[in-house]
Amino acid sequence: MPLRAQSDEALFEEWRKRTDADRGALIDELFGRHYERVARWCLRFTGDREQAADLAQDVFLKAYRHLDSFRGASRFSTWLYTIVRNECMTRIERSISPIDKDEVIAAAASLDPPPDELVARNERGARLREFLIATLEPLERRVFVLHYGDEMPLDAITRLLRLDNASGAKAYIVSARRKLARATQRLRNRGGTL
Amino acid sequence: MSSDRPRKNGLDFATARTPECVPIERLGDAITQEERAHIETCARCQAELSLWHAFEQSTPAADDGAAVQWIAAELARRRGPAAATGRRTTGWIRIPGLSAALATLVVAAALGYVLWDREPPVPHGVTSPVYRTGRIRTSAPLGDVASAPRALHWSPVEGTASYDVRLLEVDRTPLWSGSTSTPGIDLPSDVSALFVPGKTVVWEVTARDASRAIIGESGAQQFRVAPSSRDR
Repeated sequence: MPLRAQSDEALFEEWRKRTDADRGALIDELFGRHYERVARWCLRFTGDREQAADLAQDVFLKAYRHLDSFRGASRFSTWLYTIVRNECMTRIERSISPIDKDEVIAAAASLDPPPDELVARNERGARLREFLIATLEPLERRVFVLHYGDEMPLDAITRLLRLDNASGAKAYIVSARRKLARATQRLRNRGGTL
Repeated sequence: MSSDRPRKNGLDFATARTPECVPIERLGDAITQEERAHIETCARCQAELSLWHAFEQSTPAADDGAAVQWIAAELARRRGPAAATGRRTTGWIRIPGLSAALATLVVAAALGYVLWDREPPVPHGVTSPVYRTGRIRTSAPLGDVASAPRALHWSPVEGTASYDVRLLEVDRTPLWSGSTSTPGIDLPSDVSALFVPGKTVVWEVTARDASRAIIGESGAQQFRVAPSSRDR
């Protein structure tokens, strides 16, 4: 069967059976069919084609180096996506400006909390997650988690989620913050706490 | 990056992954009832799912089509000869630990290249093989459609003797293939029956000249029959 007619997973199986000398064409076909998909995601993440090309190159470089680790338990494209996502998150982490010393000390102090504190934190986390679900619309939640949870820039979220409203993800963040503030106030007025 | 980020006030707990969260590498699989129930109540999983959808089902948009093509061509260009020969090296062109003198040469060459042209090189006066084949502009179906398509249509490519058409699952498992000499092809009814609401289908067209050489490609196009409110 010609390479182009084979599924990703069949190509990978073939790649596993071959010796290094015969693998080039398989890799070209397997990766080549995902070039546009990865390129598009990287472009939407970075907003710049030069940066996106470098990011996409790093993705495929990593995929190539770790192809042995693909076990076929998931679809190949999902496996590739985990690499794309991790590379993007790594770039976000690298670009975040260093936090101040007070924060470092606070963070260090919070390491390995005693068990009772850990339980309390987990409980609070569960309450906060429920609060988010109950207070925000689905799209507001997604934008909120990506921006505040992953520190993803708003313009990247706008492009990745294809938000076509005038101010993109920012509108959802503004709306989410307003709703959360109101909901928190209502909770306080009732004597509750998060 | 996000200077307005309210830190250390519980957001980390509210947005972090939990042990119950669906692993990212499982997002493409059939998820269990239990996982589905969790996703309903987990903003983190919902966000991950929407990102994954953005990757998996990203349809070309008019505003990024040319740049995406450029990046894809860059990726192909950057593939070095090592991979083609199958050596267990990366295949992609990377700058190794060069001496300072060599690095200077590389920088100078790169600067010259940047000043010359940032686009991938397209050989002139060469008919085959070409660096990029022509782009086939597809017309329908694309994106969400109201009902199962019975035919595929695209714009004609000059010099084409035949068009090869393929329908694929999103993981590129072949569904159907056909050939035609016109810029459109009817789909058999048993193929149209596969287009259930919500299922994304990929299709691509390859234009060939009389010698069967590829002279145009559409790249992967996608459509799905939009789920009705009942299906959602």
